[in-house]
Amino acid sequence: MDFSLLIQYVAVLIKEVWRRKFLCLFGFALASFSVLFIGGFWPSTFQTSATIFADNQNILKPLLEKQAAQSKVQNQTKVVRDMMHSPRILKKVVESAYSTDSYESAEELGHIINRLRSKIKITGVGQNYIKVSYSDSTSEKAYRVINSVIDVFIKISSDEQRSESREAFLFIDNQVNQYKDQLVQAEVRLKNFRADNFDGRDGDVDASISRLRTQIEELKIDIDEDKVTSGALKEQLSGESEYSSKQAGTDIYVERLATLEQQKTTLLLTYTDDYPDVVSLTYQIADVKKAIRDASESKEGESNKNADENSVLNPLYQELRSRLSLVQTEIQAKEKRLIAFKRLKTKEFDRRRRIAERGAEESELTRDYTVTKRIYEDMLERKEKARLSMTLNIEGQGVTYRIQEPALPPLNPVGLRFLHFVLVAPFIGLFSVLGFALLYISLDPRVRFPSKLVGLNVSTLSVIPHVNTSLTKRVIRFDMVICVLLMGLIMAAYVGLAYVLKLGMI
Amino acid sequence: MNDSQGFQSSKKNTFKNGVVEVKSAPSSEIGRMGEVDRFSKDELDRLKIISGSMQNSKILNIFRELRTQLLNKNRKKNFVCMVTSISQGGGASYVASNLAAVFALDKTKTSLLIDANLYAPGLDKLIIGDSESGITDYLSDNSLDIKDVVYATGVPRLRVIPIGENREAAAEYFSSNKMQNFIDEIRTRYSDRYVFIDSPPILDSSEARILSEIVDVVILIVGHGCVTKEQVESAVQIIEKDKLAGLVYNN
Repeated sequence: MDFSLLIQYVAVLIKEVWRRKFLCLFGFALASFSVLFIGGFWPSTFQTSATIFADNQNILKPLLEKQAAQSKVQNQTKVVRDMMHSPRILKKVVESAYSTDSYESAEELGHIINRLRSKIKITGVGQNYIKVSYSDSTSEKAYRVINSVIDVFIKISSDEQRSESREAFLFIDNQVNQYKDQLVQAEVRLKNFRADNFDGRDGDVDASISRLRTQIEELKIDIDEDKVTSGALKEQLSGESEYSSKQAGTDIYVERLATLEQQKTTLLLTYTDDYPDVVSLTYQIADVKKAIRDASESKEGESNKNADENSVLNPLYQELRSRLSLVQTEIQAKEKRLIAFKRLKTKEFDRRRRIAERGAEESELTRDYTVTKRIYEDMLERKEKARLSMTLNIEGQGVTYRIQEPALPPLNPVGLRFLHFVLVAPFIGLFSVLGFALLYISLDPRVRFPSKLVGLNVSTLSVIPHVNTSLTKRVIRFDMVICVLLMGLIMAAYVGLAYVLKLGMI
Repeated sequence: MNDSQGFQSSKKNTFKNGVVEVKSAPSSEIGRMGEVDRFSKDELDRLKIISGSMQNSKILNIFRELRTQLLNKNRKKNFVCMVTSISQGGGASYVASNLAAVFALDKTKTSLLIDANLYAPGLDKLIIGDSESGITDYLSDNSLDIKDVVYATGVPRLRVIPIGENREAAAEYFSSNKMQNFIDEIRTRYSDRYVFIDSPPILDSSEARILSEIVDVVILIVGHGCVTKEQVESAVQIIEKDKLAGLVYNN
């Protein structure tokens, strides 16, 4: 049913086209030539692309590891697109790819930038690889602009990288200075604290106290010993008389005289009397004798005066008295020392209390100092790392973006080319003619299908097909020849025009 | 019988290709109809007239079928049929002449084709030789007899009455009593004669409407791409329902 309807439609279509064959030929030619003309002036598009590799290293990350929380790394393609589409980069591209006088007003520059933006396409191709495409009317222009875009982008991002590392360095440097100040302050505080407190440490005080205790104990024992000695001496002294006999006084001289006479006898064995030594001894013997005599005389005189006092002072008694006195003196001295030690011990106890009281303050100061010192040293190390990174960046060693696949000058235009138009135009002509015919058949209310008569209250007796007589057949043949000739003429003109347009394009 | 002879007697001197006078008395009425030269195959083809020997049997069968339908509708009796297109270019003359020809194919029937198409008459071409007067002349001129306007054609058993020269007041003539009598006479004279009138388009002329009232059967020709459905509907309404045999779609 549908198929037969289609056949009917096709038949009617052919019939209508044939009825207006010259009009159709004209329409065909018009449409084809129009498309050809459009193709002739259709701007060709050259597209080129480059791939850049985005190194995902953030310079702050290793530097501030553990020390500061890292912001999440964003989608690289989006970052690159935002950067490449940013007016600051596009403005530089316009200035480098075109001449600086390519625009007169800011508005014009805005238009150029907008055009560029719409033609630069950035797509992510895999991990960290970003493809940048650009299309323009000529190959040379496309190549120049994409190179400019990539160069400017890499330069700016590298500059930013440098400034980032510089900022990181400056930040850390600043931190280091702050910590240094804090450390100095902590040090000063600790020093002042220690300067204000001579009490020393707990250990010192303990040692001092235990030493004092030992000394006191020892001293006490000494004193006890001395007291015992003193008691014994006093007892002995009480048993001794203060005086002894006078005889005892001349005995010394007698002994002395005997010794001297013996020496004189010995010398006389060898020397004569006038020998100096013998002479000297003789005088000495004389003196001693005189002394013995004097002593006997004085003893007689005294016995005359005081008959009872015929005795001399007892030497042992003297000795004991002297020692007793000595011991008593020592006891007194030691007791004085004991008092002094005890006073000292009390002082040490006081000192220990003071130390305990200030211990908390000191440990706080010490802790403050220690922590600050540790952080300071760590930051100092990081500062050196940052300095290194900055130096690397300045020397261009740590660039984040690099060209993976450089752009090539495009050889052939993309999209619709003149050849496409040349090839497609006749078909467009044909289909537009058929389309118009179909449209005409659809819109024209006149009856073209016997089936349309079905709804009426009268029957259709018969459908008579079209009959061609031999004459009309000849006419049709003649018309066909004319049409083919015309068609040939049109196509020849078409090819000629295409050729002319192609030459014009070159 | 006399009429039949009379039909030819007035024309006998005008036939170019020789006169075949049927002087002898044939056994049947049909046989007595004078026959002239036959059209050759090429001529029939050129005139787009069907014949029993034509190669395109499809078209022949279509007209045969149409003939059967008309005969059935009129219960095998002879009739006067008007063939009219709805508007210009419908091909009423073609259908009328071929209907007449297909009826004439049957050796027991004759057909008479009347050209009433005032604005585009064209049935003269079927007549071998020249025609002097036609239906309009007959209606306006009382001196003329029917036989004076009936002409033989190159198709056996097919006669033609051409339009004639006096076409100005055709509408009045067609509505006259003489026309009515004429139709009655040609219908009743021979029971095996089938009359076909090629009329102007029904929507464009009053003549066709007048004629539709005096004929027995009307066939409406819908030309391909010539009329809208609405036009078909209005044409159908003009014609009396009993008389309208149906539509014929002509490609």
